[in-house]
Amino acid sequence: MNRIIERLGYVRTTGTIEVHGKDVYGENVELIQVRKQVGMVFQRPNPLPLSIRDNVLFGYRVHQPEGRKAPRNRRDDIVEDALRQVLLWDAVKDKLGRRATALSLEQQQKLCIARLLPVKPSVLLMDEPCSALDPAATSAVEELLWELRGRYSILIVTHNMAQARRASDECIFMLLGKVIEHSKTEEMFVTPTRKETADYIEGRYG
Amino acid sequence: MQTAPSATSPRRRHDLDRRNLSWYVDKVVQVLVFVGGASAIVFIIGIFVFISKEGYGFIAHTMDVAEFFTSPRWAPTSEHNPTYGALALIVGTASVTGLAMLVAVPFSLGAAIFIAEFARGKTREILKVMVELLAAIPSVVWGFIGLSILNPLIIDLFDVPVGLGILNSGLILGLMAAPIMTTIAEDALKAVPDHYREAAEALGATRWQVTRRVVLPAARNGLVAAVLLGVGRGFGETMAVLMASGHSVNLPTSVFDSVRALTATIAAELGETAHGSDHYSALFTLGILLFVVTFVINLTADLVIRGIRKK
Repeated sequence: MNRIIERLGYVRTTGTIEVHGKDVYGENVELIQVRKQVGMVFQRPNPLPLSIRDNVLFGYRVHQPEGRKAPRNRRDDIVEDALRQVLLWDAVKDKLGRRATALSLEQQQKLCIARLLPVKPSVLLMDEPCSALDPAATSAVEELLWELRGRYSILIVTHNMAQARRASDECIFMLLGKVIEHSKTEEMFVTPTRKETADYIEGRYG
Repeated sequence: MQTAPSATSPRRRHDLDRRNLSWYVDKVVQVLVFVGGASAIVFIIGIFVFISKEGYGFIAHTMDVAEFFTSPRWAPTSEHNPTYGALALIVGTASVTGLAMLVAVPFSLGAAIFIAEFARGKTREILKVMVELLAAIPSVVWGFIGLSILNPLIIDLFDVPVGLGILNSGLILGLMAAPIMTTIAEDALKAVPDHYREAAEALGATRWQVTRRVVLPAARNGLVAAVLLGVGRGFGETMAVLMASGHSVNLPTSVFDSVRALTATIAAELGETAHGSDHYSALFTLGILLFVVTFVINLTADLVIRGIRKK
């Protein structure tokens, strides 16, 4: 959805995904702008090898017009605001200069979410954001999802049925690259309409 | 704890002390590999002892340290008053290497960044092979290019009487060092984990932003090491510099001036000296100087590379 998949080079994509009424694969769509609108969180936390502060500011700086630099206190506000939104501020406020790669996995993942926010995306795309985390960290990240709900459209990919049920309002069930069913989460888990969905929910395959 | 000796038991079913063929092969290989590894140390110490021994006579008796490092007069064959001032040679080597780095650093870093970060598929493969081919050109060929192509070119372009000098040999040496520096720098860029690039690209960074803000800082140590190894190569290069520098003892005042390098002096004069003479051991003293300088440079490069691994 933010076309990071193109890095792989060997994948074929069909169908359309629309963001703000425009197909992200459309002809006159600029990749950079798509990625600005759609922030992505990866399976494994992947903070950049910079300080915590620079990690948060990375996307902001990238999208800042060349040569125009926001004053320092403005940038401080951005860092604080982003880290507060992901409930990380209190844990790291005294060590913003430390390398982000030294944080715990949970904190790294939160930081990866935090660095999307200064870019002001409208969609957060999360590809199994908890699969590298332990249960406690998972619940912390899920809590964060509820926290961010309403401010951003969050699209989360998961293989974990329980997580899908816990952490979402709406559910799309996909099988082999095709959308099978799309409904409200509670409806899908209680009264799935398609057989494949029902079988998967009951654990007959998967 | 003592178990029953196996010799007394009739059936050796639980012979825990049995050594099979693999055990012996393993031991032999261990010894062979150790000899291979240790030989590097033996050779380096051996070489150092040898050139120290040969240079000792000069250092102990004839050498005037102040003259050696401050006098630009290198005239060991003078009949009345032989002088051994290495300053001009040191300046010659340093100026040629310096210019070479000015040429090689932008070229090689540019090439490495292009190959590692921008080029894709076929382009990248072809370029890599080309760079390796470039590294394999013998130095005498480079010297020849300096003599026969660059020399008239410089004379024409800048209207100077002779085209052999710092400019010529610096360019040649820079082109020689660039491929090796490119290869090492590219390795350093490759060593930056791909998920950093992925993360930065997903945030909407362009290729160049990814390179400048993420990859280059992360690969900094490796890049410094690449440059240092290039400097080491420049210091040690003999043939091309001998051919392209003009080879006259001279404290240069412009890039067109002819200079003489430490290495080229040894190469050109050693064959003509009497074994054991002052001149002979003075050349070995130059060798010691070269050895120490390149050793320090390579050691620094090595320590810098190690710096990456620690993180």
